[in-house]
Amino acid sequence: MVDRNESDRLASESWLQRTVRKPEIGSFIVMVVIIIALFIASDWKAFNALGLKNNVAIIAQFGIIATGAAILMIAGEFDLSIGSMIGFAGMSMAMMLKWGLPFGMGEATPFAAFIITLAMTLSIGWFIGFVVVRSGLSSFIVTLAFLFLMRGVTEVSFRLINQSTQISGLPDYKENSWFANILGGEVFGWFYDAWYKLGQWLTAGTEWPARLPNESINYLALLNINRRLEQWVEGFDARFMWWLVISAVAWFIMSRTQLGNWIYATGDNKEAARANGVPVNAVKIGLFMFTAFCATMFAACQVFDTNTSDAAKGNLMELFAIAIAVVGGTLMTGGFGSILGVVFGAITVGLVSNAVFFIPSIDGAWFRVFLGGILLAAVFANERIRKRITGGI
Amino acid sequence: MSLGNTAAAKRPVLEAQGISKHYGGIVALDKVDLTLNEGEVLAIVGDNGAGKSTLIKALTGAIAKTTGVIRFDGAETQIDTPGDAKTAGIETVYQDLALVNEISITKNVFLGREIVRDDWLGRWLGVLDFKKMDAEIRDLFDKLDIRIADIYRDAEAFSGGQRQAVALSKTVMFGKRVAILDEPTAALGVRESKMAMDLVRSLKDHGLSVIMITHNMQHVLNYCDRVMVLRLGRLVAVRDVADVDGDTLVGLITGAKEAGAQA
Ligand SMILES: Nc1ncnc2c1ncn2[C@@H]1O[C@H](COP(=O)(O)OP(=O)(O)OP(=O)(O)O)[C@@H](O)[C@H]1O
Ligand SMILES: [Mg+2]
Repeated sequence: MVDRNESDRLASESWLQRTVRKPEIGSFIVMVVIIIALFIASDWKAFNALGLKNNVAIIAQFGIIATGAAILMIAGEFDLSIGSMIGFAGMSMAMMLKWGLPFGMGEATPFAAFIITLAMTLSIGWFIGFVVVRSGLSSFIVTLAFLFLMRGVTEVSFRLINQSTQISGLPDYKENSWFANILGGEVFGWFYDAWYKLGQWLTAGTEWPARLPNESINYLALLNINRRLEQWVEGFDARFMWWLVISAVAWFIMSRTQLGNWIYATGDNKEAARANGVPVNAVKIGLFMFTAFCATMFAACQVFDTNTSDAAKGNLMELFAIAIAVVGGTLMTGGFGSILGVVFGAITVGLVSNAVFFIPSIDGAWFRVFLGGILLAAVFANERIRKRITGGI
Repeated sequence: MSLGNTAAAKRPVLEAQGISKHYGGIVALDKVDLTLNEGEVLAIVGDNGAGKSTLIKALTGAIAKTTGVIRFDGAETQIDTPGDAKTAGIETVYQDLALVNEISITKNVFLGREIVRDDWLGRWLGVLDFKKMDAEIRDLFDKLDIRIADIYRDAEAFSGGQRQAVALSKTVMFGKRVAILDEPTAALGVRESKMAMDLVRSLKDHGLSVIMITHNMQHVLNYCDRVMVLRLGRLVAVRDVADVDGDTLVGLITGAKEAGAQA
């Protein structure tokens, strides 16, 4: 063997091999299977004009908080306080909108309510991070404490100030406030307009929509046409846009920037990262603030969409966020994960959690059975474990 | 304490006084002094657990020292994080903290000092310039004869020696004043050991001062100017290499030979 050098040891990989090694491949396949199954089982209803809107709404909700949870997990920490943070942020905004700004500073605009709430949640996120990095305690315990603490504070504040743990019947702020509208209103109207145009074009000149035999309503629904032959759905919930923005920014940061590099390094080997000059504490504190931000966006979209709030909002969401991150290929031990995988995971879990509305014959509790199942499957299928089993480590 | 003949004329770059590190009840390091002169190679030797790694970690801010003062270029300097040390121009290869496993070789070499794009994306958002980093790494590896075929692979995919070589290459890339190497030849084969030691010599030729921890007495005798001996967390001797032989060193390390009046 003459002149064999190191690069000769690089076995050339086929396209298929490279694809299979991607961290998001497992969640992608599961997602595709679920989409197809739901198409069939729901008689296409899950993806008609309204079905898509409703599915996307819940997917976006999950996606927003799962992105925060996933990046924090990549950096090697957990946040169990996400759900309580959602409740807290929702309470804070609704309370200000109903009872005015604190300290008698007058009536709250949606913008002021949001900004003041965000300032509070970011401060809490900062404090959680600070406690975690300074004490060296497991973030599991610290954020578990905040899970109870903030849920309790939310309920107590509700009762003290508002007498009841719910606020409903707030004015519909999105009518007059552009700010409330970009959080709770509708977006991408052009998509549904185009869908309706397409529907009109397809049905033009045919007889059947006018005669309206009952079953053809289902077909019209697929064309975004309602039974009065008008446009049925106007747009997606605004949270869809926020989910896209947050995911895109997260993807960009994780794959293209110095900060992303630092986040991966911090989660993989905190000490080595620190020894190489990475400010690991700042990275972690910043990411606890980011999960708080995601929780606040979740709550803001909810409050301005429904004009209500409730002390129980966001309950269990921290666990869904973590589950989705794991289903998306994020490693529990840090240092590994992909934003694209989280997107797939959110779509999968969102669709399944909503499936009961489109397939009334199934029991809604199957959702949890399914989630538990794919969670286990995801953990086993995880790249890292696959490596370990195949003797990679 | 006399600095010995060869180094007497030189100016100290890095001085440390009374460095201690306590882990709870364990005294890993007990009031150790260290002087590194401009342009010299200083060896630190001692048995396993003597406190060598602890000393350089305390020096470079990788661990918080219990007591001690550090002077750099004659001025008292706070070095509380590895970032501080790097800013001062001290580049360190730690024994156990050299590389991060699951990021690529490129990202490892530049970790903490990534090259960002030369436009607003780089300045404001920290967008990385992968092309430039890859090019610099290929140059560096060529220059140092480090044979790594795929710099995009995760660091864990490489052998211990290859990883060591990558870690060492960082001192060449970034070392400005001082390079500190914790057992640079520990995992290396014959060819790679020689390469590592040549690298130490070339660091010295480029005007850097080097601290090197090693268990290889031959390397001490052939490549270093002075040697300090640690035993059970204490400094037991500092000698000019010209004044010692291998047996003396071994005696000092094990305690068979008492240091007596120190050099
Ligand atoms: N994190 C720690 N916690 C407690 N004790 C520690 C810790 N790190 C090091 N020690 C102790 O400090 C002492 C010195 O360790 P150190 O790693 O500095 O030895 P060393 O001289 O570098 O040895 P080697 O040649 O094996 O690398 C040892 O007794 C070790 O057990
Ligand atoms: Mg050591």
